[in-house]
Amino acid sequence: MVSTMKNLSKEIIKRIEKIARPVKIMHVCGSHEHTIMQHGIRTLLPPEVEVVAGPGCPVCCVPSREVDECLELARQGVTIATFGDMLRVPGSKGSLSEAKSEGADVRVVYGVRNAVEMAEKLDQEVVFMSAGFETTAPTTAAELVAKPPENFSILSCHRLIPPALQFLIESGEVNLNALIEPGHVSTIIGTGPYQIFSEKYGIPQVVAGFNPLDVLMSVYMILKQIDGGKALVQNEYQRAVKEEGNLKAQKLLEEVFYIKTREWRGFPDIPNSVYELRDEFSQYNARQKFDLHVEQSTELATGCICGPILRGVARPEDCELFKEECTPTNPVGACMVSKEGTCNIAYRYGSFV
Amino acid sequence: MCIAAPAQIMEIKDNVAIVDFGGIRQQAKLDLVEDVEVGKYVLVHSGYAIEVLTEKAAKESLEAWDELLKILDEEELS
Repeated sequence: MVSTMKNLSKEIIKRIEKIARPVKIMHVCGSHEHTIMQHGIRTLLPPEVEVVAGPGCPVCCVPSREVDECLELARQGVTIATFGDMLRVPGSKGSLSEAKSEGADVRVVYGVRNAVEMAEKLDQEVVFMSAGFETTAPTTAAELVAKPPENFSILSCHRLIPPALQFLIESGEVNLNALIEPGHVSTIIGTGPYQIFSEKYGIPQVVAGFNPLDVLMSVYMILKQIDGGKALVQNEYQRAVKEEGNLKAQKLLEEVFYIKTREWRGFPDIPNSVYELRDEFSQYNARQKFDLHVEQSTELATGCICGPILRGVARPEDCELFKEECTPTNPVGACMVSKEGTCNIAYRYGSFV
Repeated sequence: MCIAAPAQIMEIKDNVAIVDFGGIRQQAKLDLVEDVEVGKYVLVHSGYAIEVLTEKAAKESLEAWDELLKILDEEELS
């Protein structure tokens, strides 16, 4: 039988309804939030099955200090290359977009490769502000092992998902019962790093893809685990995620980066949660090359609740600024800036039901 | 930002492929994958192929979800 997507969705929802119970499921991926909002998935689920968004947007999770570091570099006359979403993310002294309008050389690139190519053509120093989770970090690593030109360096803002999950589970603030794990982060890291959350904390987890059927299926698989009294890591996204992940990418990450403790936007220091360049690659580390020492700074504009939103304990509608002072055209907080930010998505696809 | 899309490899020159996203063609570097050749499908993120896909996986055939539901149902019975 060849199913239509509609029939399949109905079939999955029927099964979900049969075993529904009060549960709070967190996902940590902007693309999942996008799928959920675009297809109204929350309205399709029984009210007791709650799906909340966690820190799933790597641009939103870049703290003010890292934006400030970049602003400091721009002020020194360095050319900054980064992803478009990064430009309006606020630091404590403004954003890269504001710096650009004041004359700083800030350029948007599609990926690290374009930044390296830019450095090859230019004489001046080019710094790539490299945001992104485990999905993106290997692309940076691949460029660095290929020995980019001397005028190229990076400001690593790469972050790891499992330490943030650990922090959220241990803090207990959001009180989550289950996790939908991010598909493309898992393409790189595999399913192994999540095992501890099932084993130690009894949390059912499903690695999910980004089609609406993937998300519905993962909710069903989680409920089925709970119904059967199980807590496992299951892989719904087998078409792109191998149990062991992408070993070649993992090896590159290991070669180029070490893991250290640093703060995230909306979070205090999260132990072992960011990638920084190993000493062997210090010539490409903008923090060392330009002797950057920027202090941790105050995070949020008055009234902005990006922090609680990133921790999954508030929704955009809880924020007084949402749709008022804070819109995609004039974002106050980081979650409204990026197309993967929870507030930006909520603005575009309507209210959370 | 972890967006990645399936594409088919049309050409390979050194470690750079020209990949086809159903009409739109782009370059994708192959440093992060192994065993690729023209005609195969890859998952592309930020200008890099990050995984090799089967044709069925790349085309997101609905049969896959049908099969998964069947497997989950069988688990229940066993």
